[in-house]
Amino acid sequence: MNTTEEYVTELREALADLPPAEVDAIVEDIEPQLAESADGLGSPTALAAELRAAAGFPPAGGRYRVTARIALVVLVIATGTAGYAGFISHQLRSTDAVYSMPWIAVALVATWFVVTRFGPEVTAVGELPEVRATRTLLLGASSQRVRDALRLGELGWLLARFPLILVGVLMLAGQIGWEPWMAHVFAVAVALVATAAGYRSLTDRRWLWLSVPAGAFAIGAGLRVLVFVSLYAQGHIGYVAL
Amino acid sequence: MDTSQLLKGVLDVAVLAVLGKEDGYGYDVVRRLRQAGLDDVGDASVYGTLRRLYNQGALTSYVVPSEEGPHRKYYGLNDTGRARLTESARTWRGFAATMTDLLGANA
Repeated sequence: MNTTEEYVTELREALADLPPAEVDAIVEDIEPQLAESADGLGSPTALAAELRAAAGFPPAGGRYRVTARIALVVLVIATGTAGYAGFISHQLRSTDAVYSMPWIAVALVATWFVVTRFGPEVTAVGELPEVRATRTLLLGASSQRVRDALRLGELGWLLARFPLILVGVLMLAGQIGWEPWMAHVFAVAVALVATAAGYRSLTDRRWLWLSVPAGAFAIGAGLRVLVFVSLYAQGHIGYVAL
Repeated sequence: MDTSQLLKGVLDVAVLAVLGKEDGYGYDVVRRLRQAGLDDVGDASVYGTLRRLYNQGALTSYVVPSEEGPHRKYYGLNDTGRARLTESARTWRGFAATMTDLLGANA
């Protein structure tokens, strides 16, 4: 038999898509019975399902599927856009950049919306069939050790991308014609926010909506730096309009 | 006949009636419904019904500390809840009378 604590944890998981205050109220209601005997309650999952039906709450994973899917689409678009923005960060005034800037702005607003407005729906993103399938495909048989290593890698990547974001934002700010000190302060601020978002995303997955696009921006900027380096190495740098 | 199907439609009224007599916390309401003869009532259904009635604004709630275990959250009827109990009771009596008449003629 489960301990009371395990039972409550599982019950909370089964109700995770409901507002936190509602979940707290339900747990509070049930605790006196749990303390006496959990026999009548059945498994946490069964209890949650029957309780949802009686309370008029949506069945697990139902109602939030649409918002979860919107959140997922926003994440994909924001990531793609940020990656592209990083790659073109040295040529803000080019036609490409001028046309893509409104999209970047829209992606930023949508991302902000997800981070601030969506609550439990974000957990529901992890339950979407396409996300599940991808996760199984990528991590399916991997052991706990591999997962721990990935976790460490995530931390390492947070540090590694810091200078890339710095360089990318500096290139962007340089185009706007800011004073160098302003550009530097801004770049450091953006890089710090991106790193903080990344760190928080390890526990609160909502921050992935800022952190993953920031990572894509870093990769885009990194690719651009690589292009510069290779052109320089080949002696072509003189031909490139900076 | 399977009473659990019948219960689904009237659990609201049953819970309101129990709380109309005296305030109670979740497990207490479950036990009082059983004592009253509703053996088939599911624990989770009672907890869910309490939450629904509360979210609909028919119940008040307050916490009472318990010496033996976790504190107990009591529910009670407010004016909306009392009005609803009166209304539901009238509907139920009418419905029950109709069914009794119907069955009286055939059974």
